[in-house]
Amino acid sequence: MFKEGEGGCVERLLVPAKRVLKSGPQIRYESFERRVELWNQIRMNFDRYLEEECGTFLPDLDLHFRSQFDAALVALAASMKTNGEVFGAARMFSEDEIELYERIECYSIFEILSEKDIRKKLFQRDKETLRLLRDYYIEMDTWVDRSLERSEIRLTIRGYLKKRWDGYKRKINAAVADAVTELDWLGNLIGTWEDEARKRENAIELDLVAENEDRARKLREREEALRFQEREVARREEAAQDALKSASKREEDLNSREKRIEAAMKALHGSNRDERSRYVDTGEAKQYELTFIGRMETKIGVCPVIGGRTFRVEGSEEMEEPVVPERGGRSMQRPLPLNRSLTFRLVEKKLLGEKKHYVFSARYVCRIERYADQGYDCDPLSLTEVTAILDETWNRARSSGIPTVLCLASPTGFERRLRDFVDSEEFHRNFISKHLSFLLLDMEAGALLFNHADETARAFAAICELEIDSEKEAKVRRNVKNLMLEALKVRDHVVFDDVLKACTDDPGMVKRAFYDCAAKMEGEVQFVEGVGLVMMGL
Amino acid sequence: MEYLLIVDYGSDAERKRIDYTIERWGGRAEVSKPKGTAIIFEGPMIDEFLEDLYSRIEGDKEKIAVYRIEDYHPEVEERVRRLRYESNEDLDVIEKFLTYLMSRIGAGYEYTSGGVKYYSISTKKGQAFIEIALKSGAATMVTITVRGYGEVVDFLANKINEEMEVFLRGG
Repeated sequence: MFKEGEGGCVERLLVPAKRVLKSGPQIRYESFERRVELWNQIRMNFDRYLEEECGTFLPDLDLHFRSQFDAALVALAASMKTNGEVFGAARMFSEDEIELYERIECYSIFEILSEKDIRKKLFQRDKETLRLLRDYYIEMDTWVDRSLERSEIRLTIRGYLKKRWDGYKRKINAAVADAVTELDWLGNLIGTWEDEARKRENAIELDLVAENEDRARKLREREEALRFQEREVARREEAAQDALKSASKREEDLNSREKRIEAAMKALHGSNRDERSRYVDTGEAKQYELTFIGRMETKIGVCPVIGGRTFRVEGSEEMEEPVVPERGGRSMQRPLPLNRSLTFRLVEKKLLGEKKHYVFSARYVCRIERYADQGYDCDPLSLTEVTAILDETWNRARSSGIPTVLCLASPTGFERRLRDFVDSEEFHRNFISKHLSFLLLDMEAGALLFNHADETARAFAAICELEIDSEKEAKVRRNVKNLMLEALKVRDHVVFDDVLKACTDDPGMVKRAFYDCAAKMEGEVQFVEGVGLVMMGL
Repeated sequence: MEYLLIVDYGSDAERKRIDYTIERWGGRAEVSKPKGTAIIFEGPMIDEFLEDLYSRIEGDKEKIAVYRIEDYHPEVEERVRRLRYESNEDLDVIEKFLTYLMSRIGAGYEYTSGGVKYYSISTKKGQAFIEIALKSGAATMVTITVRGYGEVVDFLANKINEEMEVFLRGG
């Protein structure tokens, strides 16, 4: 019968368990101390059995033995619960396991009653027997069947209790089947109970269906929420990646920008500071030209008043430089400045006495080839370039014999050497020509340079000056100055584009203020490739 | 300073013991079980959550008390008492006595590991664990360790010690 195990050994180990099982729920009447002792013996013996002290057994037999150990323990746990005793070790059984044991053991009376005894009790309409039968028909049978299927209840306990329950059922069914043939009322009573059981069953099923539907709905909602969360997480991850990329790109750009500025600063220390001190793109250069020529036409008009004298325009001439050969197609994409010039012959309006004659030449000068080629210029007009124009104009003035006033406008301004020279005392004293007076107009900075000792130049200054809204200009300048000072707290340079981004004013005015503030702060403005204009603190 | 404790109990009996503890402490501190539901919110959008919550409750917002919580690491450590005895009695005799003693004090056998028997016990003074190690040689060495929190440790250790001394004296 046994595979290897020793039956006698198991029987010895099972003694305390069997002792408990024999008592059933009545074990509760033993003292607590005694039940603890039994518990400890059963647990120790169970350990010894599991450690194969008695060898191994076929699975069915093994389950049978283990069921007896566990059933005895659950019986003790139930007794402690019933008595309200605190016994921590009994926590090894769940409330459900104890409840299943207790409810089935309520029918333990059928253990000692024979079928004949039960039949007799039915004939006597014994209340307790009828109560147990009612519970049996209405819910107990179904409830036990369901509980025995529950995997969270130990298999050993289910195995033991199933045998017990099957035994009770057999007896009950046999006794009832016999009695019902003679007792009509019992048949009717059982019919009523069975109806009630069916109704309960249906209600439970409906509840179950509703519960399942509810669970399925909640599951769907949870899945949907999960999907939404997943999408959201993916979206956030993507956004975080993008932000990271964008941040690293910004950092790279910033590093690259800083490096370029650093290189430009190094280069600046050992080179001509005028070089690359401006930045004017083709569009701006063209705009300045149109502004300059347009203003000169308007200001001269028909009868200009110059130095308190009224003149009339005897004749005028407009010239422009021939278009430079196209390179890289840039001139096709945007209109280039043409270095236009306007020449007016002015004669004083006067009836008597000698009339004053002037040739007023308003000339816009820029390096057209650079605008055509690279799309911008960043160098002010040099002394050499200006001298060549002055020389040419002076020669023409000298040969015509008419005093000539030249207003030379440059979009990139004039190099420092030239500005210092024109502003010098020496120049003021010496450069007074009866043939030529000249004024230099920096279109971008709005500065007008001329020899203040030269009366003719002084008289024409009002015509050549740019009209600037000084109040607005001062406001923009204040704003730009503050931004530049803020930037200088962090680093030793100010990038024009950063200032421009922080301002809402006209970009032309901002640029003018930037140049002006840079000069006042004794900083050097440089054009840095890929960065734009930068003021560097020296 | 107020503290919020969250106790995840596993059975009705455990819940009752917790209630009883709260009751016992009533005279020594302001201890109460909050009514309603306790919510733990983690994240930066607490104000938005509260705004939503206020819009759902009936009556004024006094119903909701909000506290900022932080972990608290209590300076409470498990207490351990070790009782050591040396006896000329046979190991079997001592083992039988200890099994009897454990049953007498209501300690439930849990398991054996490495020759040490582990018991758990619940008393009115709290719960504890008892470890029993026996070693035979020229004399039998007995080590009984009681672990737990609070007065139950001394209570049990003293009780076991008394019984052991009577037994070892030849009672």
